[in-house]
Amino acid sequence: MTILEFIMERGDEIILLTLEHLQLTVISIGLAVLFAVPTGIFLTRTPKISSTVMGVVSAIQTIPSLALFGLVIPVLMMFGLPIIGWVPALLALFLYALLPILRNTFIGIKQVDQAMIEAGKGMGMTNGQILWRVELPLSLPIIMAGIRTSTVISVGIATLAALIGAGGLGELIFRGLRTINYKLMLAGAIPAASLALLLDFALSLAGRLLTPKGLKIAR
Amino acid sequence: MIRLEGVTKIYKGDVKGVEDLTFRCREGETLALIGTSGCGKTTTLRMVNRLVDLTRGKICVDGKDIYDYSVVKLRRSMGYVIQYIGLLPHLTVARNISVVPELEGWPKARINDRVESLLYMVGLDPEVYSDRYPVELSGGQQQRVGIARALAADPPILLMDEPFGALDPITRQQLQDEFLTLKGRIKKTIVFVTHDILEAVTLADRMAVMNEGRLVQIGTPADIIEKPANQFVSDLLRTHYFQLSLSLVKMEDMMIRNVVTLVEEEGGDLKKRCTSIFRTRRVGSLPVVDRNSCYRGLVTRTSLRDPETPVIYDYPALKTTDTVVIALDCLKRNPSLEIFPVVSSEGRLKGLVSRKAIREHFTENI
Repeated sequence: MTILEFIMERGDEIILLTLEHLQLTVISIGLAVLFAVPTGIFLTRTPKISSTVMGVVSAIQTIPSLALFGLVIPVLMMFGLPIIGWVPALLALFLYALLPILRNTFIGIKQVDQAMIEAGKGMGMTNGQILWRVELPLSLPIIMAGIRTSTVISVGIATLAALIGAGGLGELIFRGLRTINYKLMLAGAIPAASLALLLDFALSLAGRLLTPKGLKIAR
Repeated sequence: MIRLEGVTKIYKGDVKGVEDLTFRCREGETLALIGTSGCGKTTTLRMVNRLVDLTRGKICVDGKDIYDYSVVKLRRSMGYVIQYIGLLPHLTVARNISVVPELEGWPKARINDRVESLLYMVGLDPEVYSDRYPVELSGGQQQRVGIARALAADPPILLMDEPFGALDPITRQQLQDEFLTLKGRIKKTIVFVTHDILEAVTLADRMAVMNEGRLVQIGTPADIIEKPANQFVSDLLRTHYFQLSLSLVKMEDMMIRNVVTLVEEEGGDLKKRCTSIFRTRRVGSLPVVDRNSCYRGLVTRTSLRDPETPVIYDYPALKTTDTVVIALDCLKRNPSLEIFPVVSSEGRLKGLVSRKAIREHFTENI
């Protein structure tokens, strides 16, 4: 039986687990975007605390991913929340996804040419108008790049979610590892890798579509 | 229009930016703030639209303290042009110009009309340029758009911070020339910052010379060139002394002499006599004098059609002793006039000088 036939045979299960994997990734990235983009904008306005916050988020990123799954469990226990399944998995993935988005939002907004902001202010734009009409459109490509990085990392790390009972394609990989069944491993690894590539491609396309035309034209 | 009273700016660490500045910019005039780098001229300009807060003193616009206006309303009543232009790269030329009208909530059709007429005004064909992006324009074209953008919502005041400073000399000269024509048409109160004395002399009705945060001298370009208040002003002028001395050439040296005139009291129908002179002598304008050859007024091809009298009696004249800089002031005050009679100190007509001759003398030598 070839690997392809094997995958076909387990088709239903693989599709189910892929969808689960996708859900884990999309929900955690969604939450990370909702949290990290506004925080990144806020940090550009409060230079005093920006390095501290950035440091904390960077520290989270340096924790090995498997260890992070281990670390979130006692924290959740303290708050009486479920310690296995989706909650710890989403929390860990969310924390992991923060840094690239936060850092790129911060840098993206910081790199906006001061002349543009000066011009905006001089024209009588309010701070909100400067943010929406000047800073965000000009930093969008950089913010999108951060989201893309986070997404690809998340697809990878989400395979570990199987270890704490959150499902996803990791299940097939770990089951295969335990039974030394390489076909089972590949049945989890190939869709996971494809998912990462696909999301990366989709986001790069979205990034290009969202980039204002005037920024794409080469000088 | 804009009044500064004892304006002082002290930056952190007791660094003096501007000290005890008091002067006025009159309605409709173009005032240049000039001085060396770090003299506080840009700070002064930025205090007017509250991009910099003042430490002490008061700035009034239309008699009202600028801190009694809402900051947004204040800034929208002043167009602002900066050296680095600051066009938004993600918006087309048309959208860049429409920023303030959009913020002000103008209807779409009105914005489109405005953009079109502004682009014509700054010499860019709307058909060609409306949908381009800033990166697709040259520096000079970008600054034209910058000026159009500042004028978009028709603010009564225009603030310009070294508007032509980032351009190459040829483009700069071209834009200065066009700006001079433009400002005659738009009738705004303009304050601009420059370190280029020649730019100030060419464009401004009055100049405020600043040094180390203080006002050193304020007056018309002619006043300042002819009577510099102190060593600093002389030094500032000295770098361009040769060029500026050319601007002290007098009207009697450049006017056309022996012009055809009409003696008013010689009898007969004034209009018929004018018409026949215009036909036979092929002149563009005809100065009218009395028996003592004292200047009375001017007849032009347009005024000839006036049903009342063909003579414009209050037509401005220059004096033989007026210098090119003074004549330049006269050009700025009368943007629509092409020819000026030149009279002696006793009021006798001595010749004619054209706008073109004055401008060419100035731009070619300076």
